[in-house]
Amino acid sequence: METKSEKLLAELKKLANVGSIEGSAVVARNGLIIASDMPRDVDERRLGAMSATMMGAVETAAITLNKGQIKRVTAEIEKAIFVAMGAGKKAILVASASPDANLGMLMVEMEERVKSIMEILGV
Amino acid sequence: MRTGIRILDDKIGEIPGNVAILLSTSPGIDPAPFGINIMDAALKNNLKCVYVVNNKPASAVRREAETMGLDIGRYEKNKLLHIVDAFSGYIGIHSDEKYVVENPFNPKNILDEIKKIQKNDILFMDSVSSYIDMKESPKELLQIIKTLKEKMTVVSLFSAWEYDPKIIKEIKADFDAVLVIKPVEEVTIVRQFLFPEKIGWKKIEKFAVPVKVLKPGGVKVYFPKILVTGPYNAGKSSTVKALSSSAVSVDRMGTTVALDHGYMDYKGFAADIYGTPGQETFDPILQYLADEAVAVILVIDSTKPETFIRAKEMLSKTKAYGLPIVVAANKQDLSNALSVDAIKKKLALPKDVPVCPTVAIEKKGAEKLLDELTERLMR
Repeated sequence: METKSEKLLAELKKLANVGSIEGSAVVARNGLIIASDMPRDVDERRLGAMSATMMGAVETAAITLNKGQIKRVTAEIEKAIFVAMGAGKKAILVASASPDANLGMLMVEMEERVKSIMEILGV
Repeated sequence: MRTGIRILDDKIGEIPGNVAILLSTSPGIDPAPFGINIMDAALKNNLKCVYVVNNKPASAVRREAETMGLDIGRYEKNKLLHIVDAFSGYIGIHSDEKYVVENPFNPKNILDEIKKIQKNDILFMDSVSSYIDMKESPKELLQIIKTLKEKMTVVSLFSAWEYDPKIIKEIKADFDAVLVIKPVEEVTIVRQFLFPEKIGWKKIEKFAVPVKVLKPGGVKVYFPKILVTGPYNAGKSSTVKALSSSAVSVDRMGTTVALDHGYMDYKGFAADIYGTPGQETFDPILQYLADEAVAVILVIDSTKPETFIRAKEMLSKTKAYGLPIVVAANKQDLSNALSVDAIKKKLALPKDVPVCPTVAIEKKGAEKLLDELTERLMR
């Protein structure tokens, strides 16, 4: 019997097969890590806390703007592209990719995984 | 001997000699790190240990200890620890280890190899489940554990795969103590808890210890979220820093705008600490940060009683009531700071909520605060 965590990890492993993605995680909206496939040197718990804060802040900004729901948050970093996407009410999918990643491809893959993650989490 | 795992040690006390302990984990949780952690605690107390491994190379045990940040190599050097390789013989490869069980299918072979190592205090058997996978029945191995127990304490590791419940029951009956580690699904995350199912030498009430294998760090009693909240400029970020072995904050012009994050590692307890912003404009993200916290530290500025109303408001906004709360009465070094008693009166929180005087920027009072906090987390 596969546990929820194992199923989620399997989804993240699928993302790892997308060439440009270097790491990903399913983070609860409250910052706690649900599943993670981040490189060893990445402090995943801190990343989780900060991703949730980032998402929360942008969501609040979106509400303040009166322009509807956020689709995703993309941060362009010197050596990475960092993307956070809502995965139901409880969770966020975050991924870090190389700066030359094909963004369209990345988004499509992440959206696919979001669907499965929501199914696994039952939200 | 003790396990080195807080709360568990506090409740079960000193483990007597010549007992057999079963460390059973749910599938998906590797029992080895727990065994290695207990072994490390024993080695630190100069107890002589033998680690018998039949499911991975001996080098994998060393590597596992290393990722946990435990230096078992030095104990091997001074002959306090011996690793017995009962794996290479099983898969038929050559081994460079000093102690090798040629035929792990024959339990007498295992016993003979162990007997070569004189005067052992504790033996670790990693694992009983792998033995069952080889031989189907654990009977002969259990017999050997019984024999060994007359001379030393035996800690046996067990992955509770879907074996016949009758077999599991029989195995458990053979041990003086059974410690079970299993996942518990909470609101969003899954936490691991250790449940002492049976402690033969002491009458205990049921309890559970939240545990996590930190790499590095080893097995810690772990709390995923402790919230530090309080009004603007009370010293929350400084408190997070004072409590943490490492901390970061997202701040602009000296005030936190998003989140402070730190790790606490204190007397066997570990926790992630989330520090909230204090300004009301950030209240919308408070709910995310506070969700699923297991305890709350309320930081107040002892010189500003007019902010206490806001402090209490933040407690209700973060849904802290019902959780263990500890108050840090900060800035006690200032001449106009109210006394702890005066603060208690003004705050009018439940009587069992402790108020600890602190000077967070100098880390003064941090230890007392942590003691009060961990004492409450143990309940």
